[in-house]
Amino acid sequence: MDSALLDALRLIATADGELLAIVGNSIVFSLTSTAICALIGVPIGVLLVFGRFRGRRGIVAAMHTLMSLPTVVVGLLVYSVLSRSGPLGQLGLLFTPAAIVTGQAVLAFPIVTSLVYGAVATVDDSLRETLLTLGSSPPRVVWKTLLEARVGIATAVLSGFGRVVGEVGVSMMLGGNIRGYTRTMTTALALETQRGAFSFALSLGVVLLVLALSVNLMLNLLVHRGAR
Amino acid sequence: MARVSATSGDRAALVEARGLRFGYSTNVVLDIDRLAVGTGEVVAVIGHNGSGKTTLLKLINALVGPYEGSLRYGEHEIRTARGRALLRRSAVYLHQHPYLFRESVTANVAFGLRARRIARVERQARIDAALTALGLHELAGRRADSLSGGERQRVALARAVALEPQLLLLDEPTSNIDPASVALIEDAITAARSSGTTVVVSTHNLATAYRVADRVVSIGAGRIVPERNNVYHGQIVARREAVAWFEFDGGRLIVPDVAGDYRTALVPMDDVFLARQELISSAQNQVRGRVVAVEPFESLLRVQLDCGFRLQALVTDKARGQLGLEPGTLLYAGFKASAVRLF
Repeated sequence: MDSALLDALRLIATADGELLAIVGNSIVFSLTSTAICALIGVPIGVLLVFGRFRGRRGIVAAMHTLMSLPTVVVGLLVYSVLSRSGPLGQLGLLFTPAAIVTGQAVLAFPIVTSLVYGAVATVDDSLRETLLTLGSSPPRVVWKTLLEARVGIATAVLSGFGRVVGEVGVSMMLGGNIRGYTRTMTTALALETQRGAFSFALSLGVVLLVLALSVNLMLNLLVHRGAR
Repeated sequence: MARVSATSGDRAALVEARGLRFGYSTNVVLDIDRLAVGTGEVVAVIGHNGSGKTTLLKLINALVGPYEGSLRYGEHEIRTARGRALLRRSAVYLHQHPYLFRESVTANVAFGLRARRIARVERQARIDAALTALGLHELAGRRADSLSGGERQRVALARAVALEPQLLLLDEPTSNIDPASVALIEDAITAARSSGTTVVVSTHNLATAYRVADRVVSIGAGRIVPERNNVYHGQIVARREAVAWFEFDGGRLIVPDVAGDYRTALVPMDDVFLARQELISSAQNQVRGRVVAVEPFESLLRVQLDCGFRLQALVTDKARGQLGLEPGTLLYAGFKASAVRLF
């Protein structure tokens, strides 16, 4: 096992081609899905705070519940939509990076939306009232509130990234773990472990861990800065 | 300006509530039959925490809603778009715990002026005037989040008065802050009053209320509590041997000789006794007056006397027969000097 760890570190240190490709894939997929998810989830989270429409509370509660959505359930749902006989089967997206990105975006959506909602909703109400009474226009009130909640919003997006970069279910079921195409760190790690290629699996594990830790570190820094 | 009455007086109302009700689901927070604030008037709303003072002020500024009944600002109902638009241009509300932006004091004071699109040249003059009025010049460059409670309150008030609003709504502006800040804030309210601003100020500090306000309205559990004091505005004109004379338009009271500059004297209606004949008693205040009106007041009767000034007393129904309480009856009224409260 010791030699496996050394081999793993050597793979990382020498920037092994295969390893780099997999890590690159993973990061690109996760960044893309997080970006798409943020583009949709952030405005919806904000709308849930400022909007006055029926069913608002219901949606908020649903988003909260869906935060702990199992990855394999998302995989199954998106699979049934993208598979050849599914509603979007014509597009032939199954087992492509697009499928992974879609699944990951769905997975992170409730997390980002809920956390954005929480961050914006908990901004001190006297800020809103102060802005209104001083004569700010409603759009400006929303904008200033978002600025005030910016740390919370960034935290929400980072949390979404943290969730998708480490998930296996969606990538495996929708991407199919195709080498050089849809293989990600997590699916590769699962596969290499099963094949007994411990050093390669370990190298992936180390990179994944470092990535997860950096996301966490950034979250902590953000929260710390926000508290000041 | 001995204004004894608790009604709105003669000025045109700038704010007027009729049958105003506000609450969350079944919990009624505010239930006001009638309340009017005249243009240019300073009204203090007193009451305990949770009595509805804050809700009333926020309703008047359209910061909470919706409400039932009528609440008008000038010509407009406050819930309408036009009413709200007018409020945003000409009224401002100040929180008990003001929200200040994490910027300099000057930037905070400038904020509302920018939001209301006041021309740059005028902005600077107004900022200077507001900073001066609240003794903030030395703090102008400081960040607002580094200030003390009293300083924060003053910055927030400067930010409000810089807008030169027609209506200024102040929520507990002098609670829990240093005496120097209290004095500056009270002076700023008085200055706003002399420039014609209408002010509604909530407070549980009776001293502030009687010092700055033309009229004090008391609310409890969301309703207006009827006044139980005779209120006289005037000043102490002489002091001798543990007593002082407080003179106001139409009369003069003997009051306790307490050091200080007082402008308002309160005589609780419960402490005024009535007699058919002149009494030899220890009460230092005794006046003769004619009954003007006798009205039911809660479980008692409120007797209004004209003694050159208006004096009201609360008596039981039994006293009506004994004293022959009819309009026109001549009576003697008395109360101890120590019953008079000075503010």
